[in-house]
Amino acid sequence: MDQLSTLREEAATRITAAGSLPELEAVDVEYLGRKGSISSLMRIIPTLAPEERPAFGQRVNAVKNELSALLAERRAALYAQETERKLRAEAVDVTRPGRTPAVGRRHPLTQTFEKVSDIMVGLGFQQVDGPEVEDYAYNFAALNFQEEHPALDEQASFYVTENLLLRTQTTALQGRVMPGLAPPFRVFTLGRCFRYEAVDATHSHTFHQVDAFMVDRRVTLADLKGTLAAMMRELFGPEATVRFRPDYFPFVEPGVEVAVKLPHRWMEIGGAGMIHPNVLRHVGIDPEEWSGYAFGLGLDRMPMVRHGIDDIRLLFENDLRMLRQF
Amino acid sequence: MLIPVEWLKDYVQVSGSVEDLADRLTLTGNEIEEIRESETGPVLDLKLTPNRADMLSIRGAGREVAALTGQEFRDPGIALHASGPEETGVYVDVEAPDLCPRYVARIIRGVKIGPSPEWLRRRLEAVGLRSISNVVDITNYVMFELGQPLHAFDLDLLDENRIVVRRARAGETITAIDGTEAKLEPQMLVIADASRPVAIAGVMGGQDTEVSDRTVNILLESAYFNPTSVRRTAKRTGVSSPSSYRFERGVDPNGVLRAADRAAQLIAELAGGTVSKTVLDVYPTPIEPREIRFRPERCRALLGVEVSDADAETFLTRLGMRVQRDSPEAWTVQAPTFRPDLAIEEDIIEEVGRLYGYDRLPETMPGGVTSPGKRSALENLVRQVREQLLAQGMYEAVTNTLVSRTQVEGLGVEVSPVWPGVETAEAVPLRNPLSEEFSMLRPSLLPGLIAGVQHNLRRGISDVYLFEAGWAHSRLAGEAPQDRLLIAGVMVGSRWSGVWNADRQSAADFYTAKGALEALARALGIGELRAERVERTGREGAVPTFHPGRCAWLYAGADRIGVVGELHPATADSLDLPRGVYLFELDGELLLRHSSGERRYESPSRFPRALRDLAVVVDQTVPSAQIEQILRESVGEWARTVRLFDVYAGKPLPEGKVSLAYALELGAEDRTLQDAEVDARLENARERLRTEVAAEFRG
Repeated sequence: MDQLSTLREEAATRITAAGSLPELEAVDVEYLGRKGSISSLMRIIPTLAPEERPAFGQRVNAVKNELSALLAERRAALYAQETERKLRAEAVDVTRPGRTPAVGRRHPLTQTFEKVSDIMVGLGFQQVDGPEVEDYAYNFAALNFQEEHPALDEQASFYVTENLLLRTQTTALQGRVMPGLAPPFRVFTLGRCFRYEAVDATHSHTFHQVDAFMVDRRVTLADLKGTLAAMMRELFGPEATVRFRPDYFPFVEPGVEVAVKLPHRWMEIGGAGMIHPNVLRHVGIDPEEWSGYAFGLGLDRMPMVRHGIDDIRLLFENDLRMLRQF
Repeated sequence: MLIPVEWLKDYVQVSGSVEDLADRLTLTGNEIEEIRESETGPVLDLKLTPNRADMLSIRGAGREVAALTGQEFRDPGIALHASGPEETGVYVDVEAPDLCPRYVARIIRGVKIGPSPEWLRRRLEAVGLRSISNVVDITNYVMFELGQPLHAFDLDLLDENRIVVRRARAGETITAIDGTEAKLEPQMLVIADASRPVAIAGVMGGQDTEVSDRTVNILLESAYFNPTSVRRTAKRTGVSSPSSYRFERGVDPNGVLRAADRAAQLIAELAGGTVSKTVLDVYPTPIEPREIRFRPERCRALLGVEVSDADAETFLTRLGMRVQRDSPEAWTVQAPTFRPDLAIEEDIIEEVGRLYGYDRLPETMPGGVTSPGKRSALENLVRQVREQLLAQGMYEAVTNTLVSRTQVEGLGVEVSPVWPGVETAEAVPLRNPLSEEFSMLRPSLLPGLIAGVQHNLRRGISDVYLFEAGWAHSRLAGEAPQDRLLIAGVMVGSRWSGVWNADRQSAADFYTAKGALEALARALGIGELRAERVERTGREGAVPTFHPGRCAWLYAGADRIGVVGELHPATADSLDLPRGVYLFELDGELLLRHSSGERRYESPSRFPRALRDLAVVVDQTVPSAQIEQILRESVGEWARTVRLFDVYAGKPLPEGKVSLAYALELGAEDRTLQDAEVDARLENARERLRTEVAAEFRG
């Protein structure tokens, strides 16, 4: 074996053994650098016999090329290793909590309101806002409440003046809005109502209702049931069923109490019925030609049932430990 | 109303379980709230709807159960032996037939007051009454049995043996049996004898003439009083009774005599008296059963279900109505007088539907022409506002409309700062509050939000960001209250407190609050939100709401749409709050008026922009808005952005000076600006700033 072969063996071994890029570069310089041991072999060419020179030169170049290729390969491998090592060192603790930007949450009541109004809009109803401080006439008289009727016992009210009170039902809007409408129409409102009632875990003087009414030719009680069933399925899932029970409200006839079936019980959610002919006549609509239905549903118990909130007062406390859960 | 099942069986056979019966009643509109136990067995507790007066008796309940179950309604007759002689010296004068359409009196002589027999006492106890004496118990018993309230007078205590049914005279009073001293008013109906009132008609008898141990002769009253009159009187006098409860809802005018006979029979049987042949029955204008037109087709059209003619007739007949088929299209239905709630065709339709069963009603969707549904404009606004403020890290609160005076006055918001006419407007108190805690309508949402902050701080939560959109109320003196939709918020502490290694300096300050509103205004498409400092917002003499140096009105165009500022430190202190509570309140209508959905796309210029920073040193009293305006005007049409990026006060700047550093972007639509022309405009700006706000320049 001649010197070139020995050097080639030696260099190849060292390239393969180089454990880092600097080490590899040192090997490169040592063998292939301008003053490297292989490059130096070129310098002995003049001392060789002229006929040996080309062959020797070719051999040296071949070895140089071979070693350069080995170097490049090894360099790439070491670079990849190096990068890999560095990136590993940058590892983060993925189990640490993320930095969450501060984002608030909708109040559970509002979530219900938004959902309910979306359903109503989907059913073709137009939303109207009405005042919380209402005329006695709209809250009672326009809704066919007779003066001194025992039905008023269920509507204990807060008064602001002799004739102004806090509406006891969002239905008060009917008398306000209907005179300006020509049938057919579908209207709903959503808002706060008040009754003179002491506060405890299940009652509040303040509560929220959605109230809807539609007038058209041949609207039926079955349509009312269908509408409410569709609504309850949206709110409580496809299994929800609706129950009607006869009930009495002066502004509807027939009147029903509406309940929805929950997994373990029926929950009463409000009152409904066919708009009383007196109410229609009061706003100039002929009840022989048109009929309509109306319903008013309580909205406070819906989020309570859905989220397992057992005290209505929690809805008005604004405790962040609760609000953050929604 | 308590209905003992054992008693009910006098009228109808109850087959099946009591639970099934209760369910059937409940589903047909007679809600049974619970089934109680009594010595006589199970008792149904009926929650009465205000229209069903007939259900206030066992007999009425029996009739209803018979109709619902298809069982026969058994009506035991009355075996009265009126064997006593004619009474010639007892008189009934009805002077107010409008309030008392019918008055029946029966006379029973020679009774012996004593205890009631066991069966009677048990039945009374089962309906929640205490036994008093045989005669009184019988009047109560018959009231429960037939629904007709009765009253027994001690005949010998009635002056001239005379009953006068009349309106009370001014100044008259009466001591009711329960001891209440009632002042009578001229519109009230009383039962009087020749000289004085002896009963508040339909409400309660008087002590002077009530039956006692010494009573021997009885005048038994059974009457039909005007429901409205009884209700009014009961309310005015503050006296109410099972009698007034029934009269208010309407008893059967044609059952009055029957009840008198039944009670007389029982008195004769159980108290040993003799019933006189004489019936004093004053009923000048008999009340006839109502005749109501009923069209089976309309019934089907309103219910939305095919109830056959035959079924409809069966249901109505079972309920005691007389049906006459005048033609196939229109029938006449005679509603019995014990059902005063049946007045119009729809009432009859309801009865058909009820007995048909609402559980059998199909679920259909209304047809007809529909227009697209739509949310209200304010609802749309509130949804946008909600989305923006939630993104600002604020939680949504819902606070009470009813607040206390202390809450309102303690914060100096007798009227919301954003209410027009703040100086003359006032908060609206309730005339009949539940308590001081809930005695006023909120004039502003801030008291509720402050209560929310207090609630959380007390529980160790020190970073509280809340907002609410809701209605508030105020009025100008002497005028009706106005409802206004307000949007308010409160910020305390840091939004980043829960996050590790977060910036500790990030507690809310004036600019956090203002920034949230600027972001909101941008989202709503409100062109410019202009702030103007204000030292005092509330009414003259009110508790200061805001820090006098850290509060601003916010304007959109010429309208003052809101207020933002730090809670006044002294007020914070009195509310047990720390410093650094920031508040804002905005008017919903005005926000809506200035918000715009219109957005026009502006294409970014193709030419590079010239960037320049400029640090302006001025007195701290110079508003940055003024500097910004000068910069914009000086740069003219080339101004793309003028952005404040750094504020510095302190060494090496002299005391009272502040450095405001602006980043400017300049650009033309049609070419690249040359450095020289850009610098010329900037020099222009420096010159104006020097002369107009005595500015110096750093760096």
